[in-house]
Amino acid sequence: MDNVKIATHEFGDTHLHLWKTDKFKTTSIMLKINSPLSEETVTARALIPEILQSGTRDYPNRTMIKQKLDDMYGAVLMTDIQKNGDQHVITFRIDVASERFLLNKVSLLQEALLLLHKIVMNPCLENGTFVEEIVEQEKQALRQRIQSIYDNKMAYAAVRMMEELFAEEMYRLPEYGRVEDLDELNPKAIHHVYKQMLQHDRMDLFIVGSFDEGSIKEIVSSLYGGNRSVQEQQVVRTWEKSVGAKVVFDKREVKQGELCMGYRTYTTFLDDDYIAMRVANCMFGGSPLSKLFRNVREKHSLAYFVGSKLEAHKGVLTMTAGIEFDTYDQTVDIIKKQVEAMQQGDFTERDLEQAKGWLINQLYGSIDTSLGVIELAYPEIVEKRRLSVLDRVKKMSCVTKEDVIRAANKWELDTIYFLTGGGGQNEEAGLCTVR
Amino acid sequence: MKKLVYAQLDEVLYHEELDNGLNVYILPKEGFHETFATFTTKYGSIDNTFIPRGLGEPIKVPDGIAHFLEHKMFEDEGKDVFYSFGEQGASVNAFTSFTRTGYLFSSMMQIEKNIETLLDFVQKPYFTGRSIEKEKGIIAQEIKMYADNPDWRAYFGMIENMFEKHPVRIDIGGTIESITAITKKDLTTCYETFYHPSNMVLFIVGSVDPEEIMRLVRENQSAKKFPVKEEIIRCVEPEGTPTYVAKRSISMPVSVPKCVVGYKEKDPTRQGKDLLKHQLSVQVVLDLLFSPSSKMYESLYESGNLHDPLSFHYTAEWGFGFSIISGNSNNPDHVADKITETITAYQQVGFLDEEIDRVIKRKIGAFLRSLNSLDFIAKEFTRYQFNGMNFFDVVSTLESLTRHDLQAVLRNHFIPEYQTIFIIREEGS
Repeated sequence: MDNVKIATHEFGDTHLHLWKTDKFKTTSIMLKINSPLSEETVTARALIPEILQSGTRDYPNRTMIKQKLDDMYGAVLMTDIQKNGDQHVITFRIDVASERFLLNKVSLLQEALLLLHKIVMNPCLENGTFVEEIVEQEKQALRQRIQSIYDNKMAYAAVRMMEELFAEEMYRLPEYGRVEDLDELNPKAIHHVYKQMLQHDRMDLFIVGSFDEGSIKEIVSSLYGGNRSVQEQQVVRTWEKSVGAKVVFDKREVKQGELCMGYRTYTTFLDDDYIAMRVANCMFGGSPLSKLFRNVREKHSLAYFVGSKLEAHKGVLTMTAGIEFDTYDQTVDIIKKQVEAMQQGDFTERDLEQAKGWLINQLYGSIDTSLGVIELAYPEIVEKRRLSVLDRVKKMSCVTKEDVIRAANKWELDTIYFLTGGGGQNEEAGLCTVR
Repeated sequence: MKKLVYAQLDEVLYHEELDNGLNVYILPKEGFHETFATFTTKYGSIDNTFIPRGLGEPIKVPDGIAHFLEHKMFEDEGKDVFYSFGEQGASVNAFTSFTRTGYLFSSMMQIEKNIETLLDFVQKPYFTGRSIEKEKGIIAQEIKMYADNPDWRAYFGMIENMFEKHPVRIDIGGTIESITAITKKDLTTCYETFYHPSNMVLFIVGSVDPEEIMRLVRENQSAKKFPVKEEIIRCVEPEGTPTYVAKRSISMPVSVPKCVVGYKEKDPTRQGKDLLKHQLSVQVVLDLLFSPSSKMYESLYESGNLHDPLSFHYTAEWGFGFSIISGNSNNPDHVADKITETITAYQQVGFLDEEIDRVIKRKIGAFLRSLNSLDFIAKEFTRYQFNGMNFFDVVSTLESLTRHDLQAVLRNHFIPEYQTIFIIREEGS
């Protein structure tokens, strides 16, 4: 079994991470820029990648950037904004076809690195700040994007539950910003946040695929070699203690009820117990072999979709199920019984081995994609620790039944959120044509 | 076993048709940890009227039964299929589309054992009245989940507009009423008619030894008895050609209205190389007209009518086909008008060579990127096979497209009488 070997080099204040492999038909470049979440910057930072994609000094609008990408054999530019715990991470990614599969041999990777640098560092400006027209467009677009989260009821319910659960913590801030901040944000204010970002934020550049290491280092050194004044801030962890379960009912005009329950686990990916916590989550609701799937779905036919997942940075486990409005009590009761079963060790060694096998499989699956490799490595690189794939597999294999019981006993129910019917007007007969 | 080499893509494919009619394809891939296998029958939601094996008269089965059968195949005597795969380090899933039902697993270990488990559970139906009733509750929740999903509602709203009789207009999951009517006998009839090996394809992609795997599949299949191969007679009502309803809208709770424009395929009888060329031509034309680098998108974006790119794709199977262009906008009627105007304008002036080059390059890049995902290959490969197309001919076919091909598609596919518009408006507006 091969292992992923990411080699790290420092250029100025930028960390370059290279993984050379012939496994993929494309090469991926990913730039991650991070700083602590804050009320003052969250919405401006959510707008920055969109504004930067809307024009550079050389390619002053979206269409020109897109056409440049198209000419590079359909290179793809994507941006993303995430929360890594209390860090706010902006990601730029460009994927280019590996030159070995093309009829015309061209240096796509080099072009891609130059283009990415232009987009991030040399935006289209007007009187020394972002272009008013672009900023207004992007504010509108973001407003609509935030509002449309409501259209996916399951995602909406998950977002609402997290807001309730983290009401007293910075993590309540949504990574994509807040509608209420938009009116106040003008080009100058956003440009100020952008300049701060260039000066102080940590930057990690990943390149995964086939390339010539020497020439890559040369280009990266010329583009990112300068010194900035990076202010890396160690995240201080604080736990909000769960004070009895908070229950929130949200009545809307929906056909299916969405139930979300959030448990504090008091365990993050930096804790020794984290791997056991993942095994516990997998057995509880992380796969079709889990207690939730078997009981809520297969045994009681209460849901089609039911599952749970762990938040790696904040120590929270969330479960979701789509159910009938009137089975709320029955479902919550069955879920609580499954939690108790986990805490009392009501599972077999075989269940445990299966869960470990499932997670190991998932781990190897994730390193079959360049994105998976980077997302796995990044949070740990930031925290200055590294686990190889084999180390992870080894640690996973060593988890015992006692470890899982101990992990499950840390769970404390914090918040129940239920998106349910009965809100709005009754549906007019004949309008609903599909179902 | 035949060996097919695709040098430009650096891929080698192995194929064999077994004595019972099962087609097996193996694509070895070095360096990947996970192996994916799909076992697919050419049977989907549209196959609702047919002559059952051994009978002379056609019957019509309840809507949603192909999907229901897919769920029920996971029931096995005394053990749970999810559990068996779990024991062998694999995760298993299944899907039902208009024309196919596929069962798949992915795993990094015990590949051979998992392949056997896959073949065995799909080739051994086990239905009990009690478990059929229990499944109805689960699928009812699945149907309700889709009922709250505006994209799904928009997609089927458009298809219902387009087709008057063809069963593609029926939701893949059926309705709560139609699934309630499903009996054990219905399931058995559908199973016996459509799950014969000669109607199925097994596809495996991953770091495997093709000889070994083929030997294993051969042995597994020759140890089982199947009835003789018979041709399946599907009875599809002929579909009127132009679109059934030109424009319609519904209201539901959404934050932003949705606009969908569709074009029904006039001649849905192409197969093989013809279909591949036609499909790729329509896709290139859609891209030329509506991609984020198109003039049309730029102007709608700048006027604030669109904040995110339009999505568009072309679906083509034997008997039906359509292209679909959709977007979220507070001004959905305006977006629909602009889509129509753009098509009309291009029909008059045609495309520039440099635009065509750019889009074809982008498509080639996108296809190569998609080959990074074994999961994607596993899911797509069989659709190509069932329509007589070769998945690995995509790049060379794209490279061969001419301006003439694309202008012909622009005229022959995007016909006003074949257009339909479907809009989802905000509740209360």
